[in-house]
Amino acid sequence: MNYVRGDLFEDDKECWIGHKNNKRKRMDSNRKLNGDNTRILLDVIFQSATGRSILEKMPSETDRDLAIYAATKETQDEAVDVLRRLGFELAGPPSQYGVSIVSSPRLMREVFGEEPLSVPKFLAKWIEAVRIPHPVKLYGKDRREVEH
Amino acid sequence: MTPTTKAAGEKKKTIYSEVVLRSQTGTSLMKNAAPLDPKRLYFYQADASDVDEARKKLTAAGFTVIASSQFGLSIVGPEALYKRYFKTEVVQRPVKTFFGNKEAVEVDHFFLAGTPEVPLELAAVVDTIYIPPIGYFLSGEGAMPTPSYYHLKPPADISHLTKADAVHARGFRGSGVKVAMIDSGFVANHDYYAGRGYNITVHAAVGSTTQDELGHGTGIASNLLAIAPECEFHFVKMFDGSNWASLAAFRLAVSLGVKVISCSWGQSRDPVLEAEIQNAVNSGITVIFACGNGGQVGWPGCMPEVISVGGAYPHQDGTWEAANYASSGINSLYPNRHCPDVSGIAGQAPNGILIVMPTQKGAKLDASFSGTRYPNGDETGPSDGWIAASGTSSAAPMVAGGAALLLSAKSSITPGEIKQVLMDTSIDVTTGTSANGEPAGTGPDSASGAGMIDLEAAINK
Repeated sequence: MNYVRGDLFEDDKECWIGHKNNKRKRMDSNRKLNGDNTRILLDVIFQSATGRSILEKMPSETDRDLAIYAATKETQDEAVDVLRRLGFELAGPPSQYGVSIVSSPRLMREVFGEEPLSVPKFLAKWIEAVRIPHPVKLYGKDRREVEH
Repeated sequence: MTPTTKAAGEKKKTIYSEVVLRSQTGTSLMKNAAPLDPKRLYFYQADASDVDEARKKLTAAGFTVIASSQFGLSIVGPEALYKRYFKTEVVQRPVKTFFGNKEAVEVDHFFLAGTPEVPLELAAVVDTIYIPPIGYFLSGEGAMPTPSYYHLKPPADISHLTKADAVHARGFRGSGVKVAMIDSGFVANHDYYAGRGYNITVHAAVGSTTQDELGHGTGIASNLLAIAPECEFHFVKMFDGSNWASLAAFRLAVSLGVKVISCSWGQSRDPVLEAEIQNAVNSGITVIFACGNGGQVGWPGCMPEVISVGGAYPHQDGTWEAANYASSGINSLYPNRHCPDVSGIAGQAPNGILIVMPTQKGAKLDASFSGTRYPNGDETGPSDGWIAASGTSSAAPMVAGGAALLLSAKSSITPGEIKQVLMDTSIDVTTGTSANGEPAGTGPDSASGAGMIDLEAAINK
């Protein structure tokens, strides 16, 4: 797996993302997952029609190559439908690569397990991976003062 | 400060109110006495087409829509218009309120006398209107402060220095161009924005409010709107207090059908977001990212597909110098790509304090810039709703505003052409260094890219 992370922030913290083959990958997060009122945002990645994982995409790959990572419309629709039926809410619209969803910590654990999150077998037809999004740093006076 | 806003040169009072839309489910937000269940917010949401219809009809009636969401619209309009359109008198009487930690003060506040009548043409989409109670919706930031040190004030200084003024004079003000900004949040009823007639819609990619707890988005948006005041501006909030939703926000921005997306943030590389950005540019959306401050060139600001924005510092004598607060250089992800492409206005180290901007009162940035003397602090209050700051965060929206002006002049122009035109027509910045110590020089250089944007030259090219 050639997951390449940017080398720009020296103070990144670690967390893990789930993958269908349960590989663990380093990502950055300052997420806090406890608390009943917490709402957790998750990025869901659809199974592509070609079987190629967008998580393996290299920076040099351009728009000409991106169709190989796209899910079929049927996969997109079915994935969104099953996620909704499980009780997840959509955060923003889906694209050909995935969708962001909002969950309670409990629902997240019930469906994707404890961290590192993993995709259960019954969802693997539509979903390749689920992960907690990267934290963002606003360009301000002092990064630590504007990041959460 | 009251909810009254005055347009320049007008003496008539304009009154701010909230229009509540009819929900798709028929459930009225105004009849719900219990705390809202965040899982059931869609019960109260209107159809997007109803939001548009209400906006169009209210605008046609003479109101200015200052913000909208799927729950309702914030409008301002003259007293007489309320009487004519909603068949209601507006009365003004004093009420007590608090400003920060000060003692209670008496201010004038407006109230609707009796129940307003929703006109027939709006009855299908509008539930009711009301004037929010004082203390809940009032921003109360008052007039923009004037620090003792050299500073710039939007919109006039920004539109002047970018030469957007000359473009406005030719009739191009961003009209007809949809622009999105993805950032921390946006306080649409800040005194700075209310009454300016901007066409602003605020969306939350995550969470149910559009507050700006960090105080970043509310400020930097003023730079974009200074340059493209008539664009259709969509602010997409990507932070709900604990979740960062950059990917969801980017997809949401694309789904709005915008032609320009302005981003002043960075993160570790995400191949999914990278693909979404590449697809967006390929589909004709101009994507603008700040390069970063303090030295490091951020991702996605280093992607070849985006316009990467650095900083140029305007001296009072009209000359330009590379801003030593703005980043430049090469991110190892793209070894052949040097950033930035062009520059907007940015201040100097240590903190880039230069442009006085609105922010949410008491937000993190409002507090963090106060408390120390210039140049370490901005000498504004910790909870006054104003910051003096800048950096590539404020420079990128200037370039986004410039892209909107170019699109309003020529709608068929492509993202690649916009980047090229801005680079070809930039003012050469020949002195100074970036935060990385890379020097500016004659012609395109490492510190400022092609130089400081010159929108008058760009529109003439």
